[in-house]
Amino acid sequence: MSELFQEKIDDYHAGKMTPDEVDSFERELAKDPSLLSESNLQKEIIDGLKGYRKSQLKSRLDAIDLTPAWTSFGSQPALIKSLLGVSVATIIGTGIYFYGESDKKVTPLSDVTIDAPRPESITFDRITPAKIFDGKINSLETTSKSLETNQKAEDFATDKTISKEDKKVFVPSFEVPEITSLQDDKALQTSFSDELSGDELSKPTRDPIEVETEITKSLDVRYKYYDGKLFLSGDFDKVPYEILEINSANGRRIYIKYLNKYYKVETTDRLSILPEVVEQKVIEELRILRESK
Amino acid sequence: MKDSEILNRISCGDEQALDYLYKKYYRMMTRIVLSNDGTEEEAKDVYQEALLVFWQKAVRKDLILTSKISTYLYSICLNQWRKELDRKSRLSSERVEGEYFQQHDSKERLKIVTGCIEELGDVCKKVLTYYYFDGMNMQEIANKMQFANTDTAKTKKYKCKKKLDSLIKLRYTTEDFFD
Repeated sequence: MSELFQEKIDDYHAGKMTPDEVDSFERELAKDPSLLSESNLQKEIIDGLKGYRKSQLKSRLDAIDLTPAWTSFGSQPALIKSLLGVSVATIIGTGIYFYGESDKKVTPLSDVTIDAPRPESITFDRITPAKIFDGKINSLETTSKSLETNQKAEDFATDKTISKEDKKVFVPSFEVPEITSLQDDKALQTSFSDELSGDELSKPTRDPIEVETEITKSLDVRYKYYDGKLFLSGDFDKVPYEILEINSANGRRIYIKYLNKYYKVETTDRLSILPEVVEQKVIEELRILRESK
Repeated sequence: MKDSEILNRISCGDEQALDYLYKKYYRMMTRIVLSNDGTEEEAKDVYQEALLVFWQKAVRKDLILTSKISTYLYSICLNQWRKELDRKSRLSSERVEGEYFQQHDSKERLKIVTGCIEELGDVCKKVLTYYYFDGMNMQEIANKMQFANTDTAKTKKYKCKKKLDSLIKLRYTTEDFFD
């Protein structure tokens, strides 16, 4: 089949011929059966090519994802995981936020801010635990210690490493001696339960108190004391303070002498003003302790 | 994408624009069939046929759009589905049987031709289908296939068609088609 005849057949089957051309071509076909047969074959081939292309395009269209955007949104596992992760993180974050807020309400220290003192050395007298044995004060050591006080009081107060369960409740007990017999050591005799062996006296519970101070211009002495740590805040530049510590089987009692006054240290994790000792008997006892050291 | 851009791209034979159009109006067009007792498969087939009519007319530059593409497609889908419903209602069991055999023969012949087309190279397949189905002229084929000029496209088309004819004639006699 020549190229010219091929073009004719193509035009005929594509409907590109004019009516006159069509008539002429059909007359030609009618005269020659082999030509008619060829034309019919060509029509089948052209239809086959059209069908082939159509099926190609339909396959292409079939392969298109027609899921609407809002449903395909849910069919993407990675996206779901991401959103789930964000949601969980949000819930946890919200929980922590509110839990943290409730914790803050329990601890009013959060609104107490004490400026860190100038790094400087403070010298003060410190009395190590007095050993009471057989009703007598065996020793009352006084040491001096230099302490760097460049840490914020707030840090001290909010020591996260100390849980509430770990805090040892300090219940001071004090046996008031007879004033009349204070001149001799009998007045300082402890009860039978207070009589301890030397080993017992050296238990870890008798560890020296860790003291930190902060110099302020306030005349009030503020303090915190828990878990063997004592924090003091006051104007100690001019007049040093003195710690008086008495250990017995009933527990540890701590007093502070400052500006000729005695103050009692009680266990507390809140920054409080030191309560002044007003009981004359206790003041007298502490005075004797100081003089006998 | 605006209608004018879609039409422009499709008229250049951009198949991605066809994909876009198909997805854009799928729900709208298939609803015509689905809401008139048609199945999802029938609806899809009607829409695809309508879209391919649009494709052919656009590529052949036979289309002068006086309305929105969606309106045009909607009218094609509606007419096609009416014809299909008419055909279904008119067909008697005898005619169905006769049509079945006619369709069977047609499918067989199509299968033979398709088998031979598959044996052609990729370039030949494209040149022949672009020419016979899409209705591209030689210049468009030359551009799309990146041939040097229209003569190259014309020669290529002639050779490919001759090869296909010979493949078909070699394997099957003319009587296989028309006995």
